[in-house]
Amino acid sequence: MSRIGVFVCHCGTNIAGTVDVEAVADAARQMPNVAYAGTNKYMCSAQGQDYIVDIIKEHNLDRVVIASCSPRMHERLFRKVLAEKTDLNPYLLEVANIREQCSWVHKDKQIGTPKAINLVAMAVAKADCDTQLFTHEIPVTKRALIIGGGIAGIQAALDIADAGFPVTIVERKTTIGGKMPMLDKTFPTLDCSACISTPKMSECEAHPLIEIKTLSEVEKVEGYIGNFDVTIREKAKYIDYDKCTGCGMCETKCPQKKIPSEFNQGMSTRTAVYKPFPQAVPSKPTIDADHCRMLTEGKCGVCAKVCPTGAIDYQDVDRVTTERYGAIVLATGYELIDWTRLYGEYGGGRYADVISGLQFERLVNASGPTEGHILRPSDGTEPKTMVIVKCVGSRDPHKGVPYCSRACCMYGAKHAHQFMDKVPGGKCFVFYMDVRTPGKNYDEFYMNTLHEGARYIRGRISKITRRSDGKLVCLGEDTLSGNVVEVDADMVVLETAMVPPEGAKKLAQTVNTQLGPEGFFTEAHPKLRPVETNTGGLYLAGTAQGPKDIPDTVAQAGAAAAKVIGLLCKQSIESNPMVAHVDDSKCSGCGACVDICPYSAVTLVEKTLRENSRKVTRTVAQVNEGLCQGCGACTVACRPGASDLLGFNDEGIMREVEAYATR
Amino acid sequence: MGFCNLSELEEAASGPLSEIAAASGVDVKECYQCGKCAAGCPVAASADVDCRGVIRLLQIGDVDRVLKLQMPWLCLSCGVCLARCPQNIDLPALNTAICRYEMKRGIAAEREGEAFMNIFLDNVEAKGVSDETMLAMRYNLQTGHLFQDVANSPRMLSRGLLSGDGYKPAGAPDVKRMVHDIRKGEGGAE
Repeated sequence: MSRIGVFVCHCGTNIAGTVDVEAVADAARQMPNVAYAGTNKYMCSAQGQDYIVDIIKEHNLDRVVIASCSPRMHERLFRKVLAEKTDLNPYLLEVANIREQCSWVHKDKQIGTPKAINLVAMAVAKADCDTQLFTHEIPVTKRALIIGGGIAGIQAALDIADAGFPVTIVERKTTIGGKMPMLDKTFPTLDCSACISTPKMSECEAHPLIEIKTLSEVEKVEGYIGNFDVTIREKAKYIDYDKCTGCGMCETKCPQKKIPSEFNQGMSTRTAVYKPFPQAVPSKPTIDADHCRMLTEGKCGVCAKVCPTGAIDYQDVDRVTTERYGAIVLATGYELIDWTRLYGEYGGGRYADVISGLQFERLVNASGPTEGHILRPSDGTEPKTMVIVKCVGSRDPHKGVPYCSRACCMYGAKHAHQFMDKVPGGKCFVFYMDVRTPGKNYDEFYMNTLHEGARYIRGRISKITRRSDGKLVCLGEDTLSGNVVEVDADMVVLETAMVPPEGAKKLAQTVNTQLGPEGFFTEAHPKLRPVETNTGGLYLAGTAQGPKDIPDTVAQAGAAAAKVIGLLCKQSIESNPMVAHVDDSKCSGCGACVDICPYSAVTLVEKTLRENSRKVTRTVAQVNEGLCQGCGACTVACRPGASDLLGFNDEGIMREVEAYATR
Repeated sequence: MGFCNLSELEEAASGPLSEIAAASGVDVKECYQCGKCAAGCPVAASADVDCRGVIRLLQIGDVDRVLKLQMPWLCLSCGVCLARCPQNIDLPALNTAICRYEMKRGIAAEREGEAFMNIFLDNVEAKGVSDETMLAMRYNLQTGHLFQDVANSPRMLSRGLLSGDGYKPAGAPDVKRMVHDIRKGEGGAE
């Protein structure tokens, strides 16, 4: 006979508004094994906690049921209270969720109250089957892995390395830096984007604790918080970086010069052996195997002939390494939506002078294809009238994405400012649905752009057509005056939506974490755990988690670094004891659990067991408690019922169902 | 509603826009179209376009339409809009500037409004104070609305609102001179 205490929380009016908490406590007193039931306005408050502790001692309770919010919210807190202030094992606790799953979804006390009583009855039944569980210590590998070398990854790497822990950055492009060095100026201060990002890139390269792996991808992640075994494929660069001095001779002489430059968004060309931009890190070239004549046709070899140090190696192969890390930061960034595929009404890419915002960044940048002169891609003339279209792809659930990309309002205003600044007498029309400027000095920047003469027209461009004189006729509505309006533009800039990068889904599977419906990585809690994931030891930085601008990205990267440092500072961490457990005597060694386990936590082993007072050696399943995440898949797959989940044992679950069914 | 080519408007509108801006001291770029003015305006509901709409048409350069609007003429210059405007835009001054722009060119959108404005100013120029009796009589005669508001006269009389002759404020001569000088300076708005 257990002695169970039931504590029903009002949560102010959150629960008490739709659940008669006193009636729930009254009903609980009639339930089997319940020795005490009471209520409190806020069970999670200091007084609420003291109340629980006092009652446990006073009534000599040996099990606790707390009817309150979701266990995700406060289960850990209540366990801590039991562990630190009472003699009870913290796992002899059940939380009945009568808030998120009851009071918040009902409006009527007549419905909410009986449901809350049912939920409490189930928790009481399960509590009776709870057993003491004990954690053990897991060692922590004091190294961090950053996936993605954009500004988020760079910032997180620097912060972690500065705290004294070794960091590896894995970047799939040929240089770290991401998109930030491609931008011309950053809002709202208008400081040069490359001038503030490239020093951070060099700082990474020079940092004794930071290792940079470019042209690399994570292939496999095994293990768990504190101990991830990560397999990284570093693709062949065909250049020996130990010999290469970065002199650039190969780039100068490479005869393949007509490859569209990714860095300049296809508005200039590069060679097959190349460095994407002068400040690239590592500051050494790579051979693009898809375009190199030597690698595709076996003819050429000019770079090898001119290289003064003999660094060119056409026989280079991919290198695959496996290393152990304590924590992983996902900083995989974003891509811009491919508007050409979606918006036929904007020409679908057929008009050379309809460009993306990122192309405009390159056009206006002094190191860009036009050396900073705003010139039309079609004929190289200076546009006098420019139209900016915001929300291209964003807030368009039908063709694009349903969400707001957050940064476009601001860089749209910046583009308008830059155009009017660089083209004297230039006229700029900005077509918008809303202007969203939530940031320090952001609205001031926007108002300034208005004062400089940018014409903001509230409406989306409906169609762009190209007239025979080369003008782009943009048709839209000014919804504020009710006029249908037309602008004869020389150039159109589309501020396109941020979308998750290609491969995010595959990476999510590799690292065992979730993506939201829009394809960005999901944080553990949108407000209270914004840089953590639901997988222990895995953190998020920057636009991998959702669209954001540079200040927010850098802030989040710092936050992720703080979480990583907090973890790596520990000698060891406590394991989760709610893991699968195999009863050897029942296990038939069929291996169904091995196949179904998503975490590769179960293996088959030979064990010598005592059966009917005889020693036998059999194959049985064994759970690695570090890898097991307690999902329970194996317990369902196990035919003889040998696998059980500690904290959620079969008996407890059956008793819960029974308690509900017999009410 | 209408259709306009903004690129063409840009060119055509710059002259009138800068004249109206200079006369009123209002920079229409300041307005972010929140509509707080229109929501408090006592005449917006009976106008063709409300005061926010007037600014919007100026912002996009649709001067042709602005010069055909009733709203500037209906504006009472009560100042509620200005008192509440987050950007401190002087809409009464803007409306007056639009009216006077039209009057100067003889293209007033509201002939009766124009008549009223002229009679009112003549009145103040002559006496240094508005003589309501004279104003009502001249306005009714000139516009042909002979009996407009006549039914109000007994009540106005009983409250002393029609005793213009009896009311002579101390500064009247100065006001007379000021109005005279200003109208002369403007080249006379008849």
